[in-house]
Amino acid sequence: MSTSTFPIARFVDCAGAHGGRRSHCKVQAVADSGSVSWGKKSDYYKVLSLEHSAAVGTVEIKRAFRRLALRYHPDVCPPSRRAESTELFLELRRAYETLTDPARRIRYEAELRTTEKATAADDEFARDVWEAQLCVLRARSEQRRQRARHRTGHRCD
Amino acid sequence: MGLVFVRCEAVVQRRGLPGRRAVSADLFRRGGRFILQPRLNSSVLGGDSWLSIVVKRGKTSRWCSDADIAIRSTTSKGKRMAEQFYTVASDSETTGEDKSQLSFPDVAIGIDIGTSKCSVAIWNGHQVELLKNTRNQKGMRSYVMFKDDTLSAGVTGGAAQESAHEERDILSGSAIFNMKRLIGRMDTDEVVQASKTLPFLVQTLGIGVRPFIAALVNNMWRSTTPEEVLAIFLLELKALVEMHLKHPVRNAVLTIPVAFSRFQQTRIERAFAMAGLHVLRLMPEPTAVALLYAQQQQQLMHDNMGSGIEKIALIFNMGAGYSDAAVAATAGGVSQIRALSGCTVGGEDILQNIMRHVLPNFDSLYDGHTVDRIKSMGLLRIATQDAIHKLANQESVDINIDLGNGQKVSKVLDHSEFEQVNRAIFEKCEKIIIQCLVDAKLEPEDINDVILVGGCSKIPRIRSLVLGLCKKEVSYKNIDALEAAVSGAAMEGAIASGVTDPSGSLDLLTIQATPMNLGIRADGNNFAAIIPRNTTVPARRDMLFTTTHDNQTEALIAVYEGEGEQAEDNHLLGYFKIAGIPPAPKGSVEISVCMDIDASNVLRVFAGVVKPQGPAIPPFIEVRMPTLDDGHGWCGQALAKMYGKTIDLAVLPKKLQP
Repeated sequence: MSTSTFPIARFVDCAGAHGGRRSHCKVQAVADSGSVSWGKKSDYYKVLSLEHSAAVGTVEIKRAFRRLALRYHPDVCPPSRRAESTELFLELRRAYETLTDPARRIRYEAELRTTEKATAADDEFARDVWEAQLCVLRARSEQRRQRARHRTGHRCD
Repeated sequence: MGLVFVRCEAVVQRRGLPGRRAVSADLFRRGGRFILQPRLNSSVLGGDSWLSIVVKRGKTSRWCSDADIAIRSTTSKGKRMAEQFYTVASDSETTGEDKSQLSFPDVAIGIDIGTSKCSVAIWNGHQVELLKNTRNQKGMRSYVMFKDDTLSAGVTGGAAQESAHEERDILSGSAIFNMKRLIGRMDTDEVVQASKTLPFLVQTLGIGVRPFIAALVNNMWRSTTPEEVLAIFLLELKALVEMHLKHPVRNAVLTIPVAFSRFQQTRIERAFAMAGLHVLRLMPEPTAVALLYAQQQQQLMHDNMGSGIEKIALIFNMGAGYSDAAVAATAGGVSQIRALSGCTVGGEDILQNIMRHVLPNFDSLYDGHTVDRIKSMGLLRIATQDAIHKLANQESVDINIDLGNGQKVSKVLDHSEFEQVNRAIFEKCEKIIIQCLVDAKLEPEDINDVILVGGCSKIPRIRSLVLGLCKKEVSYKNIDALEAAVSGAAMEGAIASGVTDPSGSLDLLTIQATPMNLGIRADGNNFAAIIPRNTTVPARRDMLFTTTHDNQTEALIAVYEGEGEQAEDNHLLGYFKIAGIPPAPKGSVEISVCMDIDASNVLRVFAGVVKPQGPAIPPFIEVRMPTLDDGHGWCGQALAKMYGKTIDLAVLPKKLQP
């Protein structure tokens, strides 16, 4: 019974958090900002206009971040584009912070690989499905462990 | 909406390339936006950025300072220029200030208001220029003199011609100074308490309201406020700049101490507004210095054709009222603030410590603020200040003064005694530097340059302390300790106003960080930091909270700023209530609190219920902080008294943040 309710709750919660966030950043969608998609779950390497490989060193990442910051930081953009450039810069910063932190970079790359494997057309959907599946698996293994503990407990009695 | 068609001139530049050129273009309005279209014969490329647009109509011309960056270049490379459109700032979207017709480039000036001295600088088209007053001073004493019906600020030096005479006048009780330490502080604040020994009247009731401040005019205490004093001072400063520039000044970039709370920042902005100045940007003092450093490094790189590797500087600034430390990483003209920390110790504290040391019954002497006591205190203050200045260059110093009423002070002060007396101050300085290094995750060996600025950086012990902590022999030399901050501010003013320099010396950017934790009260009296200090600005972070009681329908969001672990140790910025939470067992409701600092450094807090969901859930609440005005010391207590723990929140045990 709990196997089915748990992932749903988790799923709703995720969506809720995202929905909430989307509602409070009052930023018009950047429909025509060009080739790079600045979606919520964009590829951090693409965000920093970097080659997609582990060979990219911290120095390159830093340099790319600085170069793009000079273009997209709200301080260098006109007031009318401030809200938008703020979004771009936040994304840029998230990418930079993730890729310059060795531990977070490894985790991110693992996540990226898994997402790539899930070859769904809709990225958003794929991730949610993947997360939901993961939750199911986690819950199942948790249950199995509990059952096992129960059994061993009985034996001890 | 109809189309308004105007022929205009625009100045464009390719980023990274020197030289700017004027091109003719058509400006028209479509759907509330201004669209700029370059004329066919003008050579505008896709990567060009607009620096400024001058729209000429008859004799008047309008200058749009911030029109920048080619925004909607939908064409691919080979297509004709005519298809390129650029959206520029429209009337309604710019700052919202009155758009007076400006016929001159409104470049923001840089102002550094020190506790003791103040300076102002402008970008003169080629470089930063510090302005001097009529007495040829770059650093002007920050004070306002109240005499009969006339007020005079330290910009011109008032009536006094000689500086010794001026100093005695300032200390006569008729002048208000140190307003930077008093502004936006409550009467329970220890800085305010320490200010009670100043010659003018600082009265406290100790209940968390603004202190009563008054100047002695015709043997009567005339009340005023730090904001008013600052505004009067700024008016004189503004007049000085306008006299020099020969046109009105509207915008300013101001440097502030790192330790300034957001509440204090709003107070400073209010004082500026009272003086008719718009604060375009507030820069923590060491970050202004970092900008200057970034420019110098950029220049060096151009000269030597260097590789432009990242350089890391530790900046320590100690003035009369505040100490700040910052770690900045600089490369390619971008200065990234890695860590900031600050505290409210400065030369004023050193001065008071020494005064107490040479005159043990110092505090009792200052009770009552009678005229002759103020006078003798003034004498002591001048003599002590003099001694401290002399100690910077000599081994020991004699203090010999007659305070009147048979009181005499005679003492020899040497370095070891001076250091002993001020040990607590040096320890605090040490603490903020170490914190800065830890926060930036750096070892002393990683620091390339140590930059010492501010008046107190001349004190030998401060120099040895900072250099010792960073394991350096010498400090960075190309920066003037007293002019660095204001120069950086003027540079930022020029950049923020959209000025560019052909030589590329203004192709700079400071990526700022938050100096203090921002969060809310949760888990009883604890402080849950949502945006931790040293987060890059603009920033947005959220955190989930839950209810602490069964069927709790309301929750209080009390927003604090500071370094303390307990909510009460921090500055209360504001509070609001989330009502209409659906009844549920405690811990099952999820309340999301999101904090957002936008590009203009405005803090907004969004909060609402995210679980359960449904049509019965009230909408999110958005609050711009700080909401509190005066008397914020009271509010926290009043809230606790009124509600107790009934509408408390708890941090939701964390799942992984997506």
